Amino acid sequence: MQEMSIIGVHSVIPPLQPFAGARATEKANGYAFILSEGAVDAFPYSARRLNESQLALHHCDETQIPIAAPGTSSGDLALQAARELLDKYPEIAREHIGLIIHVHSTLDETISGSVAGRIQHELGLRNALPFGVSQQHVCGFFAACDLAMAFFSSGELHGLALIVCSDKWLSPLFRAHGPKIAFGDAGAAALLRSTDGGYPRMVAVTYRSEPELNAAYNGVTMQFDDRHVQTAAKVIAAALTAADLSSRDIGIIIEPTYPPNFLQSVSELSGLQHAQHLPRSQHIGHLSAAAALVGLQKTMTSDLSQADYSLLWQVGMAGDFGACVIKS
Amino acid sequence: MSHAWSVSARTPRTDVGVEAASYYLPAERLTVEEWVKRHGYTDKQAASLRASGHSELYVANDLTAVEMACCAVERLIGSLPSFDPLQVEVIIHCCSTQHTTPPAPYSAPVCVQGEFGFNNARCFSICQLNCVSVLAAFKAARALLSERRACGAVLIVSSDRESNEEYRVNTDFTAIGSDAASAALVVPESAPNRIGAIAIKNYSALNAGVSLATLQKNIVRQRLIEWTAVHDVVRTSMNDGLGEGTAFLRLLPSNLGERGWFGVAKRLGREPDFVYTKNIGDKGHASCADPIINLLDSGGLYLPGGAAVVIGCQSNNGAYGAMTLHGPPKPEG
Repeated sequence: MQEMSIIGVHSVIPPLQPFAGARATEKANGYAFILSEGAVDAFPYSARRLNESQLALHHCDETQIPIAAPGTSSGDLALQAARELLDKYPEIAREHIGLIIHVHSTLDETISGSVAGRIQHELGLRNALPFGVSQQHVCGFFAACDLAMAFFSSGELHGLALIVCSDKWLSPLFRAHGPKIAFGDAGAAALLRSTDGGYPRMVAVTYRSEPELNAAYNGVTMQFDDRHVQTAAKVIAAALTAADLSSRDIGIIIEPTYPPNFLQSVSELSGLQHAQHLPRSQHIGHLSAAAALVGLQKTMTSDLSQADYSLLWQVGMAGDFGACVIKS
Repeated sequence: MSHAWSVSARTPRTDVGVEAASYYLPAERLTVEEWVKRHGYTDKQAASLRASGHSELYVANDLTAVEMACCAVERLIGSLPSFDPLQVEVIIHCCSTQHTTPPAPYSAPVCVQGEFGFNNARCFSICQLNCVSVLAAFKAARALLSERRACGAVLIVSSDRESNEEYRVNTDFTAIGSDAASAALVVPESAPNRIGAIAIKNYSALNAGVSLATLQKNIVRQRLIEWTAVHDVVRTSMNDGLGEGTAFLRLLPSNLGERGWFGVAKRLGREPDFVYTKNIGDKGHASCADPIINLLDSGGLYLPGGAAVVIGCQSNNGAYGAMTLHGPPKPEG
């Protein structure tokens, strides 16, 4: 079994703001590059102006979500999360961090810059290989963990890995993709190492993509149907198999911030009704790329149960599904 | 100025290689003079590109980055006598030009996955090392295969497309880029070749990249270090993991900076013709597709036992990388 230890997780969640429309409102100078004629594909629906029916698809009745202050970039959120996390562990030599993965779906504001490289530079992580993992919407975290486990166990990586997830939604992107589905801004970071006693361990991670459910700008509302339920259950089952566990072994479940009837269906199909669902605080929208890590942070700080195993899962708009199992 | 270098590491699994590969260049081919004239630059600027080894480039006017990626994958599949889409367990997309990928929360690799029925695959994209991202994708593919987190094949797909003609050329007109896509099928027990060492070093002071906004700050720094950095990773990869007596046939460069690459050859104690420079002129810098374009054009994927090539890559945001490919060992007996 391949696994890795989770030394710590930290998140930066901006304050809730009134939900001001399906489309992100902040315009950033750094996004000027996508105004070029040749960048029209970087626009939703590959169009500068959308018709009424397209806009109607994105109607959302969310009232508030976390929105980063104007001028705060995705890279700023990522850097803050990473810095505050490492500050908690002064005993860990920064030279021992060998990998930085920045997980994101939205773009940072510079055309050729690197958020992972910025984290490396600002935090003095001299020996790290920094790169980005993107285009998995909210499930990039699972891909990054898959890679980190492979790097650790293949011997390509010694020391520690820093996975930092962040998104900041800027115009012309849409935050909302359906009546109850809105994506907020956030950053989160996790420090990981190959298996080490005394820390919670990620004992399995799985993810998959379903092109049929790649719904982002296909002119369909994000509505969770039976295919989403089936696929989520499949990914959860794969994670349990990889961990050599049954659903009965799971004590805590951390779900995405999506409509309760969908979550209930997945729980039922996966045989997870018995598990304690971490109480959802006031509905705060989805935390985008950082959501999975914020969920992980919740399991690590939860005093709900002394459960041996927790299960964390996510579904995104690119047909992306992910799940992982944590041993406390 | 701080220097932050990442450390290359050895691989435990040595039988992973590139089983098949392909590339796609858009239909419109321009000479540098035609491109310069079309976009209102001067004859002197065209001459500068010529003096740097550039002759022609390819421009995608009517294809998206996803469509170009699909063209490359279609060619890869067409090059194989048989192909089972279900053997692909991971699709790693990589690119330098993130600003022309589909907008969040869309996913380019999932689009490619759906187009070809790779229903057994999971996928993601590697970026932020810009034109060196492709080498991180190879590193990731090998690690996943080494640990049997993937047992079949990993498909690496690159696709790069400029949004604005201003971004196609560097400010002093010594390098120009093409739009391009590439595909590589990476498998265990590969017949044509084996991946040897992959060295990636990142000069993180340049993390903001050399773009119009950061030009003044970063261009001097980049010029100070880039060829030393390129030489360093190329030498590191050539020294790492291959036994004595390995004959390096050639150095496949990123398709820009001819004089810089000749300098690297010299520092390696090699003649200028050790560097495969033909595509600097014929194709221009095709971002993440350069390695596959040059590998295929310079002699193909099949390398005899004891022979190797080294691929060198550079970015505009501090990342430098090199990868070696060598022939598979001769069967025993």
